[in-house]
Amino acid sequence: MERLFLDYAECFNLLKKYKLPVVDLELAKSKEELLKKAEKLGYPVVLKIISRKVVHKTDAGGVKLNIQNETEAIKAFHEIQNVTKKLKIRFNGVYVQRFIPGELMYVGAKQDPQFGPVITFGLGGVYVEVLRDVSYRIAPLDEESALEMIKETKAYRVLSCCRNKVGIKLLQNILLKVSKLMVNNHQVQELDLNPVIVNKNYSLIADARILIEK
Amino acid sequence: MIYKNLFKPKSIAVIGASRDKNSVGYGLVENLKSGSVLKAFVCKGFRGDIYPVNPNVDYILGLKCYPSVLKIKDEIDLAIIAVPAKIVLKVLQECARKKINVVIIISSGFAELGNKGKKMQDEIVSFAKTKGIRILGPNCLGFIRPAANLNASFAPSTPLAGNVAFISQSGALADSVIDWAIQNEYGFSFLVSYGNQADLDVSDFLEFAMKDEKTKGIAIYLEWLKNGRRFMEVAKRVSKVKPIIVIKAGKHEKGIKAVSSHTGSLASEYEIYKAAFRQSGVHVVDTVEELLDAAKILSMFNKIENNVAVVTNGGGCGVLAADYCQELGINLVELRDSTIKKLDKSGVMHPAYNRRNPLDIVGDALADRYRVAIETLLAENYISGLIVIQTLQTMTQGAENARVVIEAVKKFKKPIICSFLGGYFTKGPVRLLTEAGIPNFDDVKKAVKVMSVLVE
Repeated sequence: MERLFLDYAECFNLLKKYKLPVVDLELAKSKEELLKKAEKLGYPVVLKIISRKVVHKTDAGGVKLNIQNETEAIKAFHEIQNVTKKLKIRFNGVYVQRFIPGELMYVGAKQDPQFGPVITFGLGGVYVEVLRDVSYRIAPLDEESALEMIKETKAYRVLSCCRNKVGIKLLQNILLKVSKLMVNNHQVQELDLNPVIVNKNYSLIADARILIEK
Repeated sequence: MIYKNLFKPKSIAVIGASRDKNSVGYGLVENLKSGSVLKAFVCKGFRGDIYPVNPNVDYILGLKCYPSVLKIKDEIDLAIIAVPAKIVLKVLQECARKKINVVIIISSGFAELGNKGKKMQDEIVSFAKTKGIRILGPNCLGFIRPAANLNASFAPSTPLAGNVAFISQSGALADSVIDWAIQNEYGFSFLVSYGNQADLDVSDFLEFAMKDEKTKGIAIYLEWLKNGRRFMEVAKRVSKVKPIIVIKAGKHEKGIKAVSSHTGSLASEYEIYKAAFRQSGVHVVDTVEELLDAAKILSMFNKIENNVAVVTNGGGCGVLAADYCQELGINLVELRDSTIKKLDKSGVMHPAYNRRNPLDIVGDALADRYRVAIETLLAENYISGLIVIQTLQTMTQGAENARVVIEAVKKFKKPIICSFLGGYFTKGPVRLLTEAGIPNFDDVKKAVKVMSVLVE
């Protein structure tokens, strides 16, 4: 048995199969390609490092947010290139994504040997492990328990103060779909959706990591 | 059938019985014969037939000893096995021929020792399965049913009969709980230590507890589950009828796996167990004391609406109680004007009493003031339960106050949790309360914590 992380494309394909809402990613291998793709997506955009090895991409300097124009895009491209040099990993270009404003949430799941799939929810972004504002449920979730999971965290207060009613409803759907994905796919050992960006119109998965065993 | 043979056996064989006073085989026979090795109460011995089995002796404690279960003429409902691990299988084969279908295997030296022991254990289990024998253990303390004078264990003594079932993964902890329970006159419907849970496990005993009419509340000490999903399924069903409280040992994990995501490190084993308990209606506590307090209170009273009041003769303790209530999610209900009016009219309140919840009836309160306060509050439909605090002043009538509480519980059928605080001079009143089955705690926080179990 081997445990390994899926790459971005594989991750997003699996998520899409379960109709989980993701922010699409474009691959840009060169500066020219980057500018073309950013233009197509529309500024502001986000640039991300491409690597299976880097677990905490933000900590490594591999995530550049809220890029407003071509000049900033080129600068961010160089910075990420430098990060790969420093970490001695191959530079394969960058991922470009539309920048979505909103609150950063976290949805996770793992297979537990005793209880089967466990779903977690909490405040997302870079402070997940520091703040540990997380709720837990054994899958499968129903609508009620998915909502309870959201409501019992402090993250809920962050969300509910800013007219995010639609976003919360969509977040609840994400939890239900993740529950289904985990129940149906036992080879998925661990799954991190972080961040899930929630605002008054959307709940969108901007980044994902999936650990499988095969 | 298993339930009947375990809870109400008519005849028991002790295989591996011994005359050596320092051996488990001796303790088992003595516990069966007289009720307990260490005498605390007037313990009664098991009223059915006891058959010690040991090929090397004729008599143990005056009981005729048999060389093998096969030499016993009568039917055997339950066998307790305390022979060395390597001959357990042979003994079990004899039990099968004797048509015994429930055995308690006390012997250690199985899965707890690693792979070799695990293999022996698996052999025993698969043999038992083919013969339809159910196993408690191995590597366990045994089973105690005080109401049936049945102490099928090598625990030091037998506690009183009561209505809390104690299901423990640890035998040694059960021993200490028994000693504590004797000191505190705490009663059990049954106690079981299920050891390596090779066959019967905590879920099976939850089923027994559900069926058992003497059990009103269930306390569990747990380290890990054999089958988490089954536990959830059973606990969900049982907790709807009888409250289940659990203490889970092993909160902190030793290390985090090398390859792991956020979820891997966030969803620790303890968090996952907690989620499972919660989803199954199982209440989780942190200490053994809380476990037993909570189980007892839930075996005495039904759960109540979250509308609680506090009566105290000390302002400071009232403030502490209010803090703890806030922390633990207890709703201290606001007293209505009509209630205040009744208190005012009684003529026994201190002119400066605070007219709020927590109700401070002031330090010079005598028993009549406690009575008016307690009865007035409990008579109100919007108040579901009471915490009564007593601090000791020169005029405080502890014993009378205790009687007021005892009568009020009878009259209103609502829970009162007491915190008569102090030590030497408060022993007597506390004794009155506990004799009447009313829980008293020597610290306000403990009283509030127990109340929080009732309102959940």
